[in-house]
Amino acid sequence: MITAGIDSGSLTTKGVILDGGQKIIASDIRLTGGGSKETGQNVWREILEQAEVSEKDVTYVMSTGYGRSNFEFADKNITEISCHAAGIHFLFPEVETILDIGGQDCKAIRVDRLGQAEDFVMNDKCAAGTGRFLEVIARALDVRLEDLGEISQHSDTEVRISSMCTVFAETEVISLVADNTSVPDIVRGVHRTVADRAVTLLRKVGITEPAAMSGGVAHNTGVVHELERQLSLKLNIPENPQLVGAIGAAVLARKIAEKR
Amino acid sequence: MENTNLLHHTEDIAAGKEALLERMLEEAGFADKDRTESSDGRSRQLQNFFSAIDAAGTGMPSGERSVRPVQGSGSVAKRTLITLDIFQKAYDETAKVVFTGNVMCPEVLFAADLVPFNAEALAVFLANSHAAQRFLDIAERNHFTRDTCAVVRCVLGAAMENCLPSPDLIAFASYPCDSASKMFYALGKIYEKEYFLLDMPYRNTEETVSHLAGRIMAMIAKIEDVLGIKMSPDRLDEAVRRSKEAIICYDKLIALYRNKNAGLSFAKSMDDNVSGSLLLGSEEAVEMLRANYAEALRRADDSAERKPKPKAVWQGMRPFYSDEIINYIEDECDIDVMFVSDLGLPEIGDMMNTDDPHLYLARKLLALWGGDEIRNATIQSERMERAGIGGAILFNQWGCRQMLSANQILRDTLARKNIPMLEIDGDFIDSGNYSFSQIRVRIDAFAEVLQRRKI
Repeated sequence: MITAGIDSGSLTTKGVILDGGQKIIASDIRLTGGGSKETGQNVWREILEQAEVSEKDVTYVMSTGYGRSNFEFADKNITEISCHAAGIHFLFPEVETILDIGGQDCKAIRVDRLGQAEDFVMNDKCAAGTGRFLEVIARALDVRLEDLGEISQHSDTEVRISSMCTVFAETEVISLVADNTSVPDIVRGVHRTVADRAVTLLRKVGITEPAAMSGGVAHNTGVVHELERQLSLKLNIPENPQLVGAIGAAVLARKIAEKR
Repeated sequence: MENTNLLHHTEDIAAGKEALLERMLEEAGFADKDRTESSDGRSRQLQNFFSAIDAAGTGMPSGERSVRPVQGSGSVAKRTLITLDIFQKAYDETAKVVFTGNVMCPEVLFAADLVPFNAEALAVFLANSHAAQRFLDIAERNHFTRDTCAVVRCVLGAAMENCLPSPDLIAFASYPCDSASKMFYALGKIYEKEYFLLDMPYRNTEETVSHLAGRIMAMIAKIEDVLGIKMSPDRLDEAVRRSKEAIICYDKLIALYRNKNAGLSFAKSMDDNVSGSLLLGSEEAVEMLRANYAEALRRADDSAERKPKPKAVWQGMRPFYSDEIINYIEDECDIDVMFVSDLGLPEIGDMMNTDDPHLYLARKLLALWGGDEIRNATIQSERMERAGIGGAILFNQWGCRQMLSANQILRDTLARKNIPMLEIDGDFIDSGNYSFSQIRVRIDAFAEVLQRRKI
């Protein structure tokens, strides 16, 4: 049985196809841009092509993410909270606590032994502490988003970013640049701010080990390092954390298809 | 105007609650602005109030309001009329008006023929009428920042526009929050009137009951002194008797809600609860609750075959300018939402057996409003578990420090019983702090958790 998951996120759209042996045989990630429906369809076509299968060969398609209800090719849609729980459980079956930091939100999820979300909390109506926050800061510092983790490793002094607001934090960062504070020190301070907010969410839902992290921000080694330091634990990070929601969607698609 | 004249309109409810209210206002003379144009004082203030409402426009597209039929329309009409009558009396030049809040002893005010003007309820009424934004803007222009509680901004905005009836006294409690207390202090300053702060103890013990009873006696003395009246002990006893009668009736009503799968509107339950507590001590409160009970009994019989759904309790107020969230949870997510108070009253045995009126009022305030959050959360979690309630929805009021500190206590307590809690950040008065698209994902995910557990 072949199943697929499409995760239409605020920043990127992801797609995954699982084969009968639950092996990932195709995946794609691309910027969502202005048209989540069109991008989702492009991702769908791309993964079908990679897997060398047709639409008819796919037994069940599950969509998730902010644009999850946009796709006619999907059999059902479900929230990304359930999908991240299922995706992490698929990759790390022992994990009970998940931190997902995506493009515009941050979620702490407690999962049961079956990989089902038991409880969760999300950030409030503010992009601080999310991927968008890091994006804004990278732009203000004129560095690449994907380089932030590596840059922070060259820091030797801790700088505190006091603002909790993305826009004000950007202003604060610009002021620090004007004061000749080194870019690595600023980036490290930014990572600490992101970690502070995430840890607060995790503590609200309760932290039970082992824990894992998903979402694009898990690519940032600086944020992961700061989180592990504050939590005094080692986070399980998937090989491609951005795909976790889509993997979870494909896993849940399989569960539903098996019950039919 | 007597309530009975207005009650003749109850058969017209089908034409819509709002249309009925409009006609009642007209008949009561509220729409006749010429009537008050040449007058000063409270008449002028009433005129200002309607001018401000006229200029308020519409805060939300009407499509976002509830399209559900009014459940228990007779009792809704009764409640509206009673509330309207008090509102009208507060603008009477001869009335003795006391500004007050939700946490108070209305029994004392009714016993002394004083007219309570509930500032917090006014904010709710304005939000419900989509007229709050006008007063919120006025407050903001007068240096009240947007992170000040919208209730405070709305009431003070109305005061700044001289839309509130000049009070004779201001009496308020230190609960639920500092912001409300400061609002009443500010109102005292605006109207240059004396005020009395009823300092509410945090815990409910014999010692705190005794302390609060003493403060209630001091409040009565202050009322007598400032207003030059003498409280009749018999009238206070009578008000307490009615208060007890209303509470017994309310206890029976919510038992029906809980046990009969009555399928009653969550919004109505919340409104009945809040209005009822503001009217305790009046004959009207007893009448209103009796009407509610009779209606609920009929509805429970009608909905006996209703398919049970997963249930969640709603904690805190709801956005009064839009029913979008509640409708979405109940209709799209297929989850029954019940108001947290419908889980049951706190232990009221001691309170009902108390003959001394001051001790009774103290016990009532501490039982219904007591702030021991850990104890309250424990009782709530036990009741939810017993009633098979799947989860809790906590509506966090923007800028409410009280709620922000209490919500984690509740979350931790519920987590020990494996009951999930959804937090929704919003504002029950200021529609500017509301966006459904920002909260939809978390509602959907919460519904998925509850629906899965049902299976």
